[in-house]
Amino acid sequence: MYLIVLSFLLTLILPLLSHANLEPDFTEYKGEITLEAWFFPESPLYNGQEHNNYSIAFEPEIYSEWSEGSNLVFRPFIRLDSEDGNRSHIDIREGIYSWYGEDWESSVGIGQVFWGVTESKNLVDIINQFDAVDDPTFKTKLGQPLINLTLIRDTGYYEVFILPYFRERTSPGKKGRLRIDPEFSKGTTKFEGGSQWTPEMALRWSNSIGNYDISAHSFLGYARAPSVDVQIVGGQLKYEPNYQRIRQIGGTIQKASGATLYKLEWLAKDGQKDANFRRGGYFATVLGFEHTLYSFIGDNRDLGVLIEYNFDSRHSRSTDIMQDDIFVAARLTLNDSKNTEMLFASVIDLDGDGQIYQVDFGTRINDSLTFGVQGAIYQNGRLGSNLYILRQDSWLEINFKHYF
Amino acid sequence: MKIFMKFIVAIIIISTWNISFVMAETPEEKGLRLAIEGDLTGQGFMDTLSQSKMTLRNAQGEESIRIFSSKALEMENDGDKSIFIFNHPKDVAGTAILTFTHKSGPDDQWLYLPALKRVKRISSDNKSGAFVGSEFAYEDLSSQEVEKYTYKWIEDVPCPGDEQEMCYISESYPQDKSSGYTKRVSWVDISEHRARKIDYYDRKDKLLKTLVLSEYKQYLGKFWNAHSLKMVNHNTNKETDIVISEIVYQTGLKDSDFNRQTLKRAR
Repeated sequence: MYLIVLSFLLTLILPLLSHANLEPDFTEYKGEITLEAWFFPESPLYNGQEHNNYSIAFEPEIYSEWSEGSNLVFRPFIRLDSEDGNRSHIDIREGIYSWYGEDWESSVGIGQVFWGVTESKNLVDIINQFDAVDDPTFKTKLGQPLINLTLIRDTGYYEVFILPYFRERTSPGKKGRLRIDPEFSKGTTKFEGGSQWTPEMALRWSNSIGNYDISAHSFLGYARAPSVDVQIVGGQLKYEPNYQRIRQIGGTIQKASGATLYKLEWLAKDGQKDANFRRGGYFATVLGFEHTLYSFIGDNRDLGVLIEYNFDSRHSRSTDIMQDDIFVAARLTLNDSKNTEMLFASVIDLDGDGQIYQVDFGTRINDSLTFGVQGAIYQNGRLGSNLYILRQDSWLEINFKHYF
Repeated sequence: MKIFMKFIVAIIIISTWNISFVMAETPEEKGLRLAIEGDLTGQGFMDTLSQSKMTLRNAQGEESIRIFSSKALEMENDGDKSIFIFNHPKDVAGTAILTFTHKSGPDDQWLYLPALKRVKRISSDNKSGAFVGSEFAYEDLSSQEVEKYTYKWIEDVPCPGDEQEMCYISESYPQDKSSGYTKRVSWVDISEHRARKIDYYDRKDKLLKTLVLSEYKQYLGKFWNAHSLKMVNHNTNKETDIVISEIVYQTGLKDSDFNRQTLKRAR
């Protein structure tokens, strides 16, 4: 890990050294400190798990800009968790140098890339690995070493990504909640058909045509989700993560029409093992809409209604919890000076494999402090399903973020 | 031949000009004419860069501050393009909004969320929504295109707060059904077409908000810019003040400075 960091920092520094003007024209330091309490009301199911977690996270950021058209972002991250050693971790969320001109941009370093349009899940986001141990809602991503070139043309944005190093998904340790049992064995990860250093590549085109935003991509590399190898070592059951090389194409379509946004993400993937350890091709999509009722209550309060359908052609063989599920959510935006916003969501499995209820609330206490509550309830998972594994792990998180 | 044609055209123009004087202008025609004249005074600004401070004040007098910068680009055959970038409070620092206004049809708008690195399309009906929790709606701050309203001149009166100047009162009616207003009543000075005061009427045709514009300064010997905008909401007694601390005209911004790629690196 440190080797990658070092080598990438080196690639960052090299272009800087060749830079005519080393002194940036603009530099900004900022950051955030998060205090977080994570409660699990139900008693742990698996050996070694603890009840609640308390953690502190620190994420400073240095941003420098050169007026000839380049910038540097460095944003490391550290979390210290009271219980789970795997949750105490360090990452470089961003450490990236970019050059840009009128109709192009190029970046080298550790970056974060977001391609999705839907709210329940972002199928198309393949560049970054999820930091699953940090955020069970799969919104937080690990920094990804990458080289990127983006060309801006009248016919759209053309992007090429070369990813020289694969990041493993983080996963809870023995003391952590929201995990399989037993937890993934350390140091046993397999990378089928290569190693972590086997390069990956992605191409993407996107454009806005009238009130449509459209994109398409292709990807060659490792699947971001591991399959689980089952081993018996010394009479003991062991789970080992196993990543397979895949080929993927996918895209997004979004249409803005009045107060409604129609959204679609899709992908077709080949090479990944399903829940029965069978390798094959499959198709998955998320489609739905977000309709906002402006000034719904009182003066300024907006209510957004979101409905999305998640489909995966592998059905019950899918490794994804949402494979035939309806996501229904309400987002209330108070439009007050405290930026108060809340989201209530439910995910209902149409095959009868349970429900998930989610809440996400955020407000500002003062100019440098925010308060948030997040939570999820996992209910009625069918025996042996992905949801069933989490049946005792419904959680509530309370956090305070201090910005400086 | 060409000269002859030009002569004919000139005759036609002059004669129709006369007709318009003979046939008294209706209040609607006068309203539109004044709106076009007002729009012309702003034409040719090319681009601007500005820094603004916004103070939100609730009925109890509690204040909160927003600081943002904005870039605007004049487009030849369409509405203007703009980017708003927030610097304060810190939890929204780096959040940016890209807007392509259109003379006809809904505007295009994207929001950049720096924590997720996500560029998110905003639905076009968002215009009636509050701009970052303030008493300004998006449509109050977006580029004002003549084509988006119909007009009616009401009367000429001394300007509110400046009795030395004469103002015309004009009503404008949004064409777009998703606007939060049925009409706006504007007090605009006759000499320079500077809006001094605007009353906003909600969908029920009740007076909702009043905007007072002042501290006008002239740039490049032509363009007048109000440096103080005070909006009062008559329903909630909440107020929002915008003070434009700095504005620079014709900085050389280009179309290529206004796209989803530049939105991501806006600071």
